[in-house]
Amino acid sequence: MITLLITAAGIAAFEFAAFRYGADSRVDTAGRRWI
Amino acid sequence: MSHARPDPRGVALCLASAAGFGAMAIFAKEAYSGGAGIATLLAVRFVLAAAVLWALVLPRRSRLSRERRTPSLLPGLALGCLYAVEASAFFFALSRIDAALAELLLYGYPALVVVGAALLGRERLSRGRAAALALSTAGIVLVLAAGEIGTVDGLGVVAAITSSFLYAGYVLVSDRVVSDRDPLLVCAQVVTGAALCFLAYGLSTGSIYLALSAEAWVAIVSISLLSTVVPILAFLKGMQLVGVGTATITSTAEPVFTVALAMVVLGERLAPVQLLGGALVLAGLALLARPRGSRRTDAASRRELGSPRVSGAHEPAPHAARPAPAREDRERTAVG
Repeated sequence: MITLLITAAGIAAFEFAAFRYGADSRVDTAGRRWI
Repeated sequence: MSHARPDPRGVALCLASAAGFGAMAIFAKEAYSGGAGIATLLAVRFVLAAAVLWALVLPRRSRLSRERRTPSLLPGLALGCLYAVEASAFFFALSRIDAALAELLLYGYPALVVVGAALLGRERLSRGRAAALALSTAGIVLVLAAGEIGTVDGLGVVAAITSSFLYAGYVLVSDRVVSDRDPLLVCAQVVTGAALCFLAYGLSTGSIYLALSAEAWVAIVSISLLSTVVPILAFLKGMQLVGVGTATITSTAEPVFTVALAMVVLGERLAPVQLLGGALVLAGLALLARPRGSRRTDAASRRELGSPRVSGAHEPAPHAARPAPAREDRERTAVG
């Protein structure tokens, strides 16, 4: 269970970092927010 | 060698997608050991994911309605069903041939997508992109072929190849479907379509069991959120930014993430040739991200080809690659 939670936390952190890096792209070319 | 420069934000999002899908094998092992079967896992995974996505979409519904007066559910749902059919073909292949061989055949799809996009006039097949594709594909062969390939069954091979073509078709079609639609909405529709298909199958065959251990539920929720919702959305947006070809080539990092996670989390040992394969995949991605010559972006390149915003709904590899030791382990960790 511990391994599972640590893995999930690690993947979530990586995904969060990528989303944060791509923050500028949250608004598309038409000015719409996609998330 | 000169090709369009991909938006690094799009590449990052596609890598996040690959990481999420790559982790699915790790989560699936826990789910299976906690009593979940494949039908249960797939049905619950997509139902939960659909619930989360609609919870995100519905508050935006009024604004979406203003943007699109009649946002049709049908294309997204049909894509979800196409995905479900593709995943079913892959699972049929898994029942006949070794998982490593099935995945090797499935991973022909990046080449199919890149060539298909070029034939359809959506993206130019530059030498740089072709070289990146060749490097990444060779890397995947080394990563996966280092494991046991097992007996070659004709029907299983045909099913795996069919799965590869279906998946390539799915990516290319979704690229068009989402081009003028809200990616989050399309994502919700695709996942809902897949959920309905897997739910119908599970209920009709009585193969859905919800009496699972706490570990299994944590694993399934992790798969739903971290290996379904986030990766689909990340790939969707990443594909909008870098185009279908670059996004698909970037998705070849998925088995590399799986192998790396298995090494770090599960303590599995990798053969040197697998490390070499991972390095080749990364080299291919680096080649893709560091062009020489042109400084144009992928978006600019696509505009030159007269393409609208290139984007796509994606549910990367409907399976999870695994590092590999025992054949039965590999088969049970493929979750579609």
